Amino acid sequence: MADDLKLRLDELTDNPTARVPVCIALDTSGSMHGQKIDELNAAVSTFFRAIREDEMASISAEIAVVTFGNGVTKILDFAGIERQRVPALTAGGLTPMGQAVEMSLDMLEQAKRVYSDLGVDYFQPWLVLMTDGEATDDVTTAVQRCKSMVKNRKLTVFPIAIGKHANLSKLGQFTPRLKPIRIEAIDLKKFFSWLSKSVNAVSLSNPGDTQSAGLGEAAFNKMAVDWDTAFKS
Amino acid sequence: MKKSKKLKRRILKKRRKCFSAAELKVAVASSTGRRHQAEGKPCQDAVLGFVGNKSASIVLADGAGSASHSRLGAQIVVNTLTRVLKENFKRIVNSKEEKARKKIMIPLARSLAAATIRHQAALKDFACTLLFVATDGKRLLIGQLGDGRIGIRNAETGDWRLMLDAFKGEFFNETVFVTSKKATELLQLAIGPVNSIDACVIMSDGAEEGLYQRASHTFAPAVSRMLEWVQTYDQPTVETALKNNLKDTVRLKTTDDVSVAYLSFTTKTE
Repeated sequence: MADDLKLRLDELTDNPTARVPVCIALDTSGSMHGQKIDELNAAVSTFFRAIREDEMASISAEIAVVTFGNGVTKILDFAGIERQRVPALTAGGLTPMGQAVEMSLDMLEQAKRVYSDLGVDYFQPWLVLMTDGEATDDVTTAVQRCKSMVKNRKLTVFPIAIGKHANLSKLGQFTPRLKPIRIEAIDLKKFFSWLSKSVNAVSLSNPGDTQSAGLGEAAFNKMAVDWDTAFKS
Repeated sequence: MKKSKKLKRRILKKRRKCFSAAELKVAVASSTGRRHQAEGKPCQDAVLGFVGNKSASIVLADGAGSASHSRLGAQIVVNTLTRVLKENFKRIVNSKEEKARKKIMIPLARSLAAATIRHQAALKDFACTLLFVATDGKRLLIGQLGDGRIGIRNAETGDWRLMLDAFKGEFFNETVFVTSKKATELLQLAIGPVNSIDACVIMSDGAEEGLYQRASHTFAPAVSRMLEWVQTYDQPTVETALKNNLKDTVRLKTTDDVSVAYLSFTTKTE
């Protein structure tokens, strides 16, 4: 091809990569002490490593982590994953899930505002909510907010119950669209491995790949169906 | 002495730039995105240019990734709309906006409905977006349904201006399709005189990643470079060059399929 019929890269422009905002709200109450918190720590580390190792996900995924146990703590705010270091999680205290969910929703809204101000596109936010029991605080407002956002397709909530004592019906209140799945602590790594692959898939999707913002829901439902056969230890 | 109506019309006609079909050039090209290539899938964009005795058009449709027959849907839409624009351009541009939208969308709906029967598939399986520009040399008809970008260039300044607006939901992977329930309502149209416009470009959202900067609302220098080719070389040469550059360069900015189409006027005042 003649040089005058060849574009140079500097004649093109750049646009920022669309972001995938994911907030993970983790139960670190006293009942998570022992094997559960160890498995959770290992699973979260694996998750972050998997995201970092994926070329597309590492520049588009933005992960925040909120814990609820001894109070509610924002242990990681949204930022580029290369700058994030996940602190070790420790177990203790009650289960202020309502406050944690509200903090998570506020953080997701703030992230969206920042993206909009900077002209950065973003995918539908995800909230991953994991508990081994049930809330010890008032969840009314948190549930209402989640339900409204989920119904209006502004949010996908992934409800995960850890172990046999987690209250599935109370956890299920946070999302009218997905049923909670119950997993054992030993399978937390597998869940987070699935989560990292799902985040990767979203980061690779193009406009038009989904006819609604339902990519996460479809993947979760499939995972829930496959869990017993494909994921459970 | 009052100027007669006839004289006034002659003076107005002289002032407006008019182009004969011989002065219109089109060029179109597509390239399969890196993701589809890795998956062994074909390009889901379809693009078609037409120059006739009385009109010219460029039409682009981008098939929805999740729709099983979207590649076919995109092809049906560009073929049908090109025919509609060729046969009905005057009737469309002389209609009120609501009727103009129907004159465009009803034939598309019919063609796609026929395809659902032939292929035993649902309408949503043929989902695609739509961008087009058509002209009779005096007037421009521009339309958009869904994402992608349309630009028009001012002959005097050489500046590109964005026409219409890409329909996007709040989220990056949301858009509207020709098969959507409210498609006719959401089809954006612009009709106006050619005046000082000397070129139009339409591009899929994949091509947009490297050719249009969203933060500053500006088109990349490459858009003008490629227009120069359209204005200088014959159509086969230009289309080969466009295709090669989409494949070798523009595609590096996205994993999506990439398509562009140009409609160029050689400026001449009658």
